[in-house]
Amino acid sequence: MDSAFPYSLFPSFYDPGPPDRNPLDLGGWGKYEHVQPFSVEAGEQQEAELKWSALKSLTQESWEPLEPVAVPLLPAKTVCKFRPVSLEELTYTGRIMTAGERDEMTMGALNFTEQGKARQTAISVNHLRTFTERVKQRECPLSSGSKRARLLNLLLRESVFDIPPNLLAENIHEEMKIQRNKLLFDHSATGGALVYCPFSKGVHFEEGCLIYPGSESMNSLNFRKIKLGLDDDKMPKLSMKFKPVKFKLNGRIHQIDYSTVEEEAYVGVRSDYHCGVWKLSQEVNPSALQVVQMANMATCINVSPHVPGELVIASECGAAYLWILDKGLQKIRKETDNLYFNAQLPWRWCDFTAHPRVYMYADRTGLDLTDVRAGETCNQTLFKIGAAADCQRGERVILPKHLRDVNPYHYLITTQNSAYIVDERFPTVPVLKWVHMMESPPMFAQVACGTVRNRTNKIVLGSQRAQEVLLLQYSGGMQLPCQSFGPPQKLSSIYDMMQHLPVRLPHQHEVVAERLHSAGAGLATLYHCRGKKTLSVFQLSAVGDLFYQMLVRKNSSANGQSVSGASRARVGSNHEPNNSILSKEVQSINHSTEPRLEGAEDLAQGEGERLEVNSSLSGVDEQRVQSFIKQSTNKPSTPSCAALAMCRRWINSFLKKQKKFQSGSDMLHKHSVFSTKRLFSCKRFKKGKESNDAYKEVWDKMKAVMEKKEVLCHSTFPILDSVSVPDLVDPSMWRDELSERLTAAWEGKWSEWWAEKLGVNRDKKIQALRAKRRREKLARAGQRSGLSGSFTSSVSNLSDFSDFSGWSRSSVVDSEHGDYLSGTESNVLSNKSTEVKQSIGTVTEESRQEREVQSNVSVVEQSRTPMPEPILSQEIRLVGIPKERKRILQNYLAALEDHPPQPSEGDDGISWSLPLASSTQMSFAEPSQMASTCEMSWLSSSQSQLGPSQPKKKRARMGF
Amino acid sequence: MVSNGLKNHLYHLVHLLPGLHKLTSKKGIPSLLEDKLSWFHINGELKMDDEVAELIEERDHSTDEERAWTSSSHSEIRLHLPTSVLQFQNVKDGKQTGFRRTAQTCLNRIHKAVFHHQWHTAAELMPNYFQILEDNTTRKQRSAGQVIWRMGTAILQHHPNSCIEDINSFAGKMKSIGVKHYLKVCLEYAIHLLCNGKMDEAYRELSLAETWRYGEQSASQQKVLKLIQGYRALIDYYTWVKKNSGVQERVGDDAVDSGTAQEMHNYFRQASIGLHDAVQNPGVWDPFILSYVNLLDFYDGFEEALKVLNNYAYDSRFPPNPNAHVYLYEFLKKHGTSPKKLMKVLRVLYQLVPSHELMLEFNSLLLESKKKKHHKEALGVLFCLLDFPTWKENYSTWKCLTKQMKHAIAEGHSDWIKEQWELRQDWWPAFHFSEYRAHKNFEENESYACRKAMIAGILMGKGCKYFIIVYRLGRKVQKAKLKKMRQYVKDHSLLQLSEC
Repeated sequence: MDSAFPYSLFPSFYDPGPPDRNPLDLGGWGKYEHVQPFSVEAGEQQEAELKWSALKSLTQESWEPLEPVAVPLLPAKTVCKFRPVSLEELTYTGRIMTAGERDEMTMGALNFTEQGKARQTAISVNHLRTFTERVKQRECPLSSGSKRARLLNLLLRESVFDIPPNLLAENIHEEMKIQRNKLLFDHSATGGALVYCPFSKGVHFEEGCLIYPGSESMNSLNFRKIKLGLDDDKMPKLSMKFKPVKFKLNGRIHQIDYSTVEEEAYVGVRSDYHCGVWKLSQEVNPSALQVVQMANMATCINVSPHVPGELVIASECGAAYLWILDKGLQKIRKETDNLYFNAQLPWRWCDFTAHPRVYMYADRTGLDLTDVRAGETCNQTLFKIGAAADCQRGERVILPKHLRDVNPYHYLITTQNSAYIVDERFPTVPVLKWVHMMESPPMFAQVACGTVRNRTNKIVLGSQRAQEVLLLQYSGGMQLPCQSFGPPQKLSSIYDMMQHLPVRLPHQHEVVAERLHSAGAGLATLYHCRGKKTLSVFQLSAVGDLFYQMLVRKNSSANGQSVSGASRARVGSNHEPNNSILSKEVQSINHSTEPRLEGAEDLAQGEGERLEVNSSLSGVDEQRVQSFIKQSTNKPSTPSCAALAMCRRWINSFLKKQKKFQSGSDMLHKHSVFSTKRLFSCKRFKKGKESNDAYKEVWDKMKAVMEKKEVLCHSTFPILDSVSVPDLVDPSMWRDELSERLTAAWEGKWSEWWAEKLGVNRDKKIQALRAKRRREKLARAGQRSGLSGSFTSSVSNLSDFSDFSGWSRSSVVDSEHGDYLSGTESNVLSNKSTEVKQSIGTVTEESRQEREVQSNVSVVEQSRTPMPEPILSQEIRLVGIPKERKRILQNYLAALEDHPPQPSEGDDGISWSLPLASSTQMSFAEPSQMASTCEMSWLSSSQSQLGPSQPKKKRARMGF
Repeated sequence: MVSNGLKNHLYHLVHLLPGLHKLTSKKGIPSLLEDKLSWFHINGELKMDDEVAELIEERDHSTDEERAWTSSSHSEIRLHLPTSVLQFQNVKDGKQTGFRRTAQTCLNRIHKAVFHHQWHTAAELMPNYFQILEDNTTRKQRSAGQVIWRMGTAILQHHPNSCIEDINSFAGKMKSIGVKHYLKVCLEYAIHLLCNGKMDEAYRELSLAETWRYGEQSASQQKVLKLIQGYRALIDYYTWVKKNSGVQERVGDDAVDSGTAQEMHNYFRQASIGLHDAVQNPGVWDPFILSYVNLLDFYDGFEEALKVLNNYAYDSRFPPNPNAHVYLYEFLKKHGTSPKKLMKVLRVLYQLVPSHELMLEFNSLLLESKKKKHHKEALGVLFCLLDFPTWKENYSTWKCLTKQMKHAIAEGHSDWIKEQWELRQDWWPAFHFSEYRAHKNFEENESYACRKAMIAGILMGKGCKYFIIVYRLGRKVQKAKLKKMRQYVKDHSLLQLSEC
């Protein structure tokens, strides 16, 4: 009888309370967990034999896949318009290059057009105003392709943002996290949008309707008849020849649920804010009945298995409604908080229970039964995350499912770690629990129940992200307690198809792989339990592809036992010939006073069924299956030709669609390309001067260079005569006070110059000198390894020049000893600068100047020399120079330094291009090496403004 | 059939444990993830994606598998971040040595094979995983021991060529993987023996485990110990049952000698002490309770047994187990307790599980009573039963309902029916009395359909669809009966009542 409750449940501890510390995650392998005895009546005369049976029984029905991979059911219909973002991309934590950094690197050349442009735009405030107005109006900057807007954007950069870039960056960061979490787990798909609704079943065929969403945005609802039959080789085969009936909906379809009541199937469809009902039967085409709009995001829809035309829906605000067609919505319950603890999660679920007026209401913390009879509501806990269910910390309800057809009192509940079967007659204590060990939480589940009760029920769990499919088997729940059968079995995932496909071009391969990796959106099963037993599993991916795999029942009585001899004791007592332990008449020994006859009924039914099976299968057929199974056990197997053909067909259809789309989407890409056309427009060159061929040529070349995104310099733009280095202004030639002051001002030391001039800082200087002496003494007392090391290295090997980090470290150590560094250093140095009088262009004179300085300094203070003196380094000088000028100079110098010095330019050029290398070192070095050294030091200078590399040379020289 | 190679692997699996052989050295395998951490530069401060940071941290601290979770700050639930995420990061990960990665890869492959039920492949891979026992952290070693125990057991249980001796020796080895797991291993092994019909060996195993002592016991160990005790006592009980039935048979021939009686009493004592202890803790102890009560009952411990059952049913520390009430009811019924007490027990069960099979007995008990209150309650119990889909097409229940409704009407208590009907009038018509169901019921069983039609008529008047259809269909077959029924409905329907 259906309503029986197991007479004796398996023993277990009960511990209400919060979940325990997380135990080691070992999965559910190799455990019996609990055991209890049953008496098995062996025959009429023999006495009852005692059999012990474990909660996790070893036996199982073995199901073998017909094909080693899941096969596409239909050719690809859709193509994704945008490349989906991957999880890895969203979790990338490397340094992200900002636009500014890029510019510095790519547009390092002295770009005077920038200046010109700036001047131009700076003048026309009107443009700016219109532009800023327009920016507000336009939603997508890509489509508002005004040239001026782009140019202005380049100019204004940060100032045009509505949101400060920093804030924007944080928001984007946040959004990336949300997107990432959504990729990992998107609760809107809970329940799945794929349903198989059986109509008629025969011994060798079955007809039903597959209901699934289609089109690019998954907003068209398809009803498609499918038929399971036998092909010419008597193997089960699906045919999809019928045309689907389509309905175009307003939003993406997230969930489809159906129930057959009184031979009419009611189909509930949920999208974000709409829920709809369709009705169909075998004869009648589907028709839409009613649609409701929700104010909050709908999270669940379920169709009543009891009363036709009743549904329940739940929404994110926490309300659950009973929806009776033609009568409208009726609130069942509303909870603003979570049920059992404050998890603050908006997801809600509701479903029907064994009683048509009691509803199940669930959130992430647990399940509740809500009784709405006679107005008053009364709630009862059905399941809660906690120690009673042996939950782990952090575990949450993912999908609750009322097992209508299997046992109306049972619920399947999945969490990240486990799957539970809960009986509503014995709430809070799950009657069965598996550790499913899936990578991502199972969000789709189907439970197939054979018509005959003594067969195992099959649970197929599907996950969203990794598209894993897991098969679990269990039985019981009526006379006998629930028992799990065999370890979980993983079915092949969609992606497994890849390894059997012909080799393709890499980019095609990539596109196909990406497509096959897309998230799951639904799972359906077709369990044909008559004749040749098959279990077909359909999978729907988020991009609308349908795949299926078919499993056939392997009869272990034929091949298993004959192989292993009788001499060997078999593992597990339950290896019965037909593999279904429950077909034995089993009853609790304690209950022997009251013999139960229902079991016997079951037995009789089971026998009858088996007989029917045997008679229906021809001997030849049986053999075929067997030979097939033998083949399939000899792994690794390859898919059949038909399956491969299906895969190929799918791929071809997909690639064709993809190609068509790509050519169509070129327009889209054009918008996003930064046009260089406008940078040097013909007009600007024509302006003021007569246009002639030379200008035209220059313009063309320039454009070509720009389009290639190359730096406009000598090598890429040979048409220009190489610009000779402008004559340098030697400040030492200008000895008058004004010139000196100007030089100082140019270096940003105007105030210091005055201080020097007026002698304000004399005391400080003296102090600084004392401090320096003290420091030197200390340094001498200590080790000088850093110094000598830098010395030897600089002499012996030029390449060590780039490695100045060691030096700068030692300098830091040094500076820690003295207290002069903060304010006084500049004074000391500026003292010398009066001697040196270097302007920015004195690079050619440098070595000479240096020597001068050296001598001067040594005259003034001989013992001071070990102190690194950055005065001569250009970088240091740049530091002092006002920003705007520095920038132009840097660009300029960088561009010049871009191309290697040419021998024709003579010594001057070389010495100029090597401002950091002393003459002695230069003699060792070959030009190319020097260039690289130089480049490196420049690079380092751009990286850290503080790192003066010049002193290295000085120190090296000091050794001489 | 059995290849030598495979035998070797199985041999490895069973005999070369734990960690007796030195395998590859763990040094010299370069760590690929030595690069510096990369940072996310936002708003002037250095900030790494905290989730990834957590991922790394979790991975460093994880005991067994390299897994991390998304933090609860934004994600709905704690989830595993796939480790592929880390491949794209320049993450410093000192602990993640090549040695461990090798072991983890091996374990993953074992998992994969086991998931696909490729026991041969799994058995071949398993000996390679043993090298994890050489890991330099004790924590890892300890967890590895458990992994080997569980995976090894699973493989041996399902491998087509494994035999019971393999499992025995493997379980023996596994007992030494750690003090903490000794009891668990023993219990699982004992259950294995029990399932294979080796009750005596299982008994020995359980007794040994029960007397095992080692230092302080953790809470989980206590629990396992209690289970061991319970199962051991259960075996004692079944031995007692077997012996007892033998003794009972012989009772006819001659008197029981004192030796046998003493032996029986020993079994009884052992079993009852063990069972008594086992059922003290809150939990589901159906088999233990049944055995314990049977034992007590046999030795005339009625009071004691009643106490145990009452405790099991009414102690609030225990979960609301319907069976507890069922056992109590059956025990009381067996001892001929007064119907009043029986009703009391069943009333509690009625509150818990209104769809329980015993509700039919409850109904008849209530009817036997003289009180009108009970008759009214009986009607309610029947209505409640019919609310459930599993009772929906239960002929006898409908038959009872017809009888009792007629009785109630005859007694002048149509209001009882009305009271029940008011709770159900919005959904019973669609649930029980639809057109489809009328046709179907009539096809399947005419008299049943007629009975149901009469109830429908009484509840909803003769105008209701179900009644009309059945009447129309049935008129052709048994005209007189239907006419009579129609008249009855006309006179006694609730509509009639409300009109009056």
